[in-house]
Amino acid sequence: MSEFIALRGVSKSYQRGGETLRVLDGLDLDIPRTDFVALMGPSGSGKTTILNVIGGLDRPDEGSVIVADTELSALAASRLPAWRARHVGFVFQSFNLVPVLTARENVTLPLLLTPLSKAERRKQAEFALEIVGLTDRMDHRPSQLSGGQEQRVAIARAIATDPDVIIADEPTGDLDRETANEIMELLGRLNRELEKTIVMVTHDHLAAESAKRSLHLDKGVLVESGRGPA
Amino acid sequence: MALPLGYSLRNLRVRRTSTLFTALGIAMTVAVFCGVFSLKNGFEQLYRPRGSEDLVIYLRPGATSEGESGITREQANILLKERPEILRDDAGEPLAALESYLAVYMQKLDGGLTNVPLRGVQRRSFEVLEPPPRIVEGRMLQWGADEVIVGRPLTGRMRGCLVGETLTLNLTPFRVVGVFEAEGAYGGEIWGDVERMMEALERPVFQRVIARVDPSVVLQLVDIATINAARERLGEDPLTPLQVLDAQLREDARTPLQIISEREYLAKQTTFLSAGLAGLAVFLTAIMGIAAILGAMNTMLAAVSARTHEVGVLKAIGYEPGQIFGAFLVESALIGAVGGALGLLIVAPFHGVETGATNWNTFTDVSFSFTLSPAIAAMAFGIAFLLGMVGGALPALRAARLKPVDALRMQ
Amino acid sequence: MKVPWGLALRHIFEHWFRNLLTVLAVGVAVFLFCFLVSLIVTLDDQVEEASQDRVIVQSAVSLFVTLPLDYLAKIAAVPGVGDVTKWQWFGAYFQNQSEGFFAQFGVDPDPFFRMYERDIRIIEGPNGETAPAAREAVHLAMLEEKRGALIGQALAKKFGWKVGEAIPLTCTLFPRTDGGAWDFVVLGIYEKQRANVDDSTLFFRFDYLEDTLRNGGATGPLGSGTFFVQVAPDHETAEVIETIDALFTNGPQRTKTSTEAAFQASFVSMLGNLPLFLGTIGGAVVFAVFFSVVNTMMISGRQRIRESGILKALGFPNLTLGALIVYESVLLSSLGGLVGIGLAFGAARGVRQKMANFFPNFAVGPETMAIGFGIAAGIGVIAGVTPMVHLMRTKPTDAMRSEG
Repeated sequence: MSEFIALRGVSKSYQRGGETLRVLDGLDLDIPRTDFVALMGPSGSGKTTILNVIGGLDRPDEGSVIVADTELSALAASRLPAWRARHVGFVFQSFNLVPVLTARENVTLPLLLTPLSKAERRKQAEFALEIVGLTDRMDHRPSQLSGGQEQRVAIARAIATDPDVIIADEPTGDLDRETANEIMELLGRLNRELEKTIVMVTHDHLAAESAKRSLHLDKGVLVESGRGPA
Repeated sequence: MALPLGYSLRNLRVRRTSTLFTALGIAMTVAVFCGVFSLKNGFEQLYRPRGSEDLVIYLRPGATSEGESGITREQANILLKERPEILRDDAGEPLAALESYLAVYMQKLDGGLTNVPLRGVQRRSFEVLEPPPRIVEGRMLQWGADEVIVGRPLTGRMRGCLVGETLTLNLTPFRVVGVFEAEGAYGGEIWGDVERMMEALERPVFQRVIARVDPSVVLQLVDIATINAARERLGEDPLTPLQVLDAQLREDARTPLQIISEREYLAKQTTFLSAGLAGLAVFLTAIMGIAAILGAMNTMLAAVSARTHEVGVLKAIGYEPGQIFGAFLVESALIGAVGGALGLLIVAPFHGVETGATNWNTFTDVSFSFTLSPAIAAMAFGIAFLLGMVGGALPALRAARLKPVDALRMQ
Repeated sequence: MKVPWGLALRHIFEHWFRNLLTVLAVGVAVFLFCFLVSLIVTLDDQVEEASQDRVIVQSAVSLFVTLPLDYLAKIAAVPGVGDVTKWQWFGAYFQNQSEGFFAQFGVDPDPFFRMYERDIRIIEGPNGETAPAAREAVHLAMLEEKRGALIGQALAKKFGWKVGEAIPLTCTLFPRTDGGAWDFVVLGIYEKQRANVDDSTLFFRFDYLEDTLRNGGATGPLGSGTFFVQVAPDHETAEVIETIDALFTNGPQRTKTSTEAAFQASFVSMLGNLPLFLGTIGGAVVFAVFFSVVNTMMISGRQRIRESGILKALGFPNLTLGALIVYESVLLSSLGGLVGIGLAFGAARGVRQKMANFFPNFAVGPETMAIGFGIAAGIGVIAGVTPMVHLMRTKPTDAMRSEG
């Protein structure tokens, strides 16, 4: 069986101030189903680019990207949004909740893209919020929540549609140690109990330890740097 | 230390699309204001008080304009012969002209009918008016002939007004032989020999007598000082010699007429259209000003909310609320100033453009041009500035009141 | 797929003050537009509603020249001419020359009542009669009382005049030799049925004026400014016009005969460039407010960049995001449109009352309202498209990096 996530010969360059910056250069990466990978590395090493490529937010200049049995480079750009909606959940460093919507509404947002009925959407959103332990804060707006709570709403939103992959970009970057531990524990549970495949970028060594394994990225090259608690 | 002007300028440049759009909204308001007031100004220039107080007009009592007046030949002759106030030339002839006046139908070049003043004049008419009308094209009309001369603006606005063309008055064809320029409303009239006009139109009365007078002659006959002393005791305004003459003449059984100085007569001819245009300008400026203020307020509110974080930083490093308020207010006032300048640019090309309108006092067509005066421009610029300031005051207050801690927490 | 329309509403309420300003700005523009267009439409209406089988004979030379009275018999003898009445402008005022100025015409009661049967409805008669009995009563009373006058209901309301009341009018065109005012007695009040008549006119007996002039009680031109002529049903209006004018080609006064519609139109044309002028201003206002709304929506769009990045990452297509911002924009401007129409409607009442002399029939028509609303909605669409294009073009990864 082929790998669940497979990157082959992926290259990506950016134009920054007239200079061409080659961020990824022929990168190969395999991530099996139900894996929990922490990507580490200095700024500008291409971590976020890998996440964006796997999440279908960005396309590589060269190489092939297969995620959940789909060859993303073969997919038309206009079909990427629908693909993302079905297969990927995103968790960001700065939470990226819609400020004018309540927690419940934020979680319901991706469900609007599914054929679910209103009642089903509501049930699913509440279930996701229950998993992250925020049943009592469902009708609060992001500004009325703490950072940790905001990130948990974001995680609930990421799992609401029951996607195959969760992409997490520095999920603990804006949080204190204790809250960060709670979030990492939550992600670990999603990986163990709900069998979500998680790809996470982090600077935080402690957070990385929650993952099954850590990959170190330097100048576009991957080095396996250890395995976390399996 | 106040925030430097450069800070406000930089912010305007950064948000240049917003700035430009808001300024354009203000510019439109200013343009409409200037446009309507320039029209009003152009129209009023026609009736601007001018000439000396000794140029007077005799009309039928009760008539508010020449069109309503009527003076018989008999009355006119008595007037010229007997009135002591009328000045005479070296030969002893009175410095006075008998004139007829009628608004006649003319076809406008751009379609439609209008009423154009047709004045029957005498040789003396050219001598009593100050400055005298000048022929600028063709030649002077010949006395006793069926000829007319037309005011210059009419040649570009009415049919049949070019030199060589013919105007038919009722049944008599009159040849256009010249084009003249004259001060004020006279410049938009058609002039011909009064006797020929009266015959062609079968109107046997004159409409006015215009004359150079010396009102002080009345002092030899009446003791004005005593009268005025009595009036003063009663709390009434003192009479001028002309007013005494007027009162006398009205009572004269043979020539019951009124005397009015041309200056005063002209001032009375503008009321309706002037008031109408002023009303229109104020109404439109007010309505558009509201829209412009709303627009400016919107832009500044957005500017404040987009810069909340920045305001927090400024406050954290020690700027006072007053200084923050000032900086935002200066910014919106600058938008107003840009709008004012743009608005003036929009209307400037209209300056001098000739147009016409019906003067509601006489119900005749008058030709005049958009006349943008420095006063109007200054007022418009002031309004633009004010619109910007009023629109910016509330958002500036909001910025000044931001708590630095909250402001910094905002992204 | 569902579009989260609720988001647009949330944003509207989130920045309620700013959006209220936008709604008001559009409201003001639509108000002014409807108001100015209605002025033009009102003028045109007077022309359109005017009768085609009623013709008006006037001097070909000037509006201010009267025609000899013996013209009436000559006109009446023209084949195809039904009723003919003199119609003389009186130009008097009540008490105050500017406030108390209104239109008065001297007419011949018999033909006048017949010709204007369908144009005016008499609603109050001398002995408390109401329509329809009042018509006959007023007609008879007018024949009895030489100083009798029929007044429009707006006039009755403005000056508080009642039937039976004597009203003194000062006339500068026909000043009385005793220096006093002319006396009239209100015998009836009418209500206009068509836009060619207005409710602010006073009709009186021409022979009252004529006799006073003849016996030296007043001075002024003796004649009639116009003759109103009813063309008999089985005759061509154009032919009658031609015959009448041909009758007087050799004087003593040449005539210019036109249909009532053309006569009214000539007054509108004397306003000169006014309609064009008002139209230009209306356009300028709409333009100015358009800028203001585009500006607001661009600000909204800018504040929405991050959010749309999130939505894009979640898998919402570009079109949804575009639709959302256009929806918000159209919602705001349409609301403004409604506000403007409401204001114009309210103002129309005011104009009818305060400016009855100039615009007695002023009203905001359904077409004008529809166009006003259409302009508002159109502003919304265009204003929404600008930020829409911007939002749709921004890549989600860049958008989420954006602040605000």
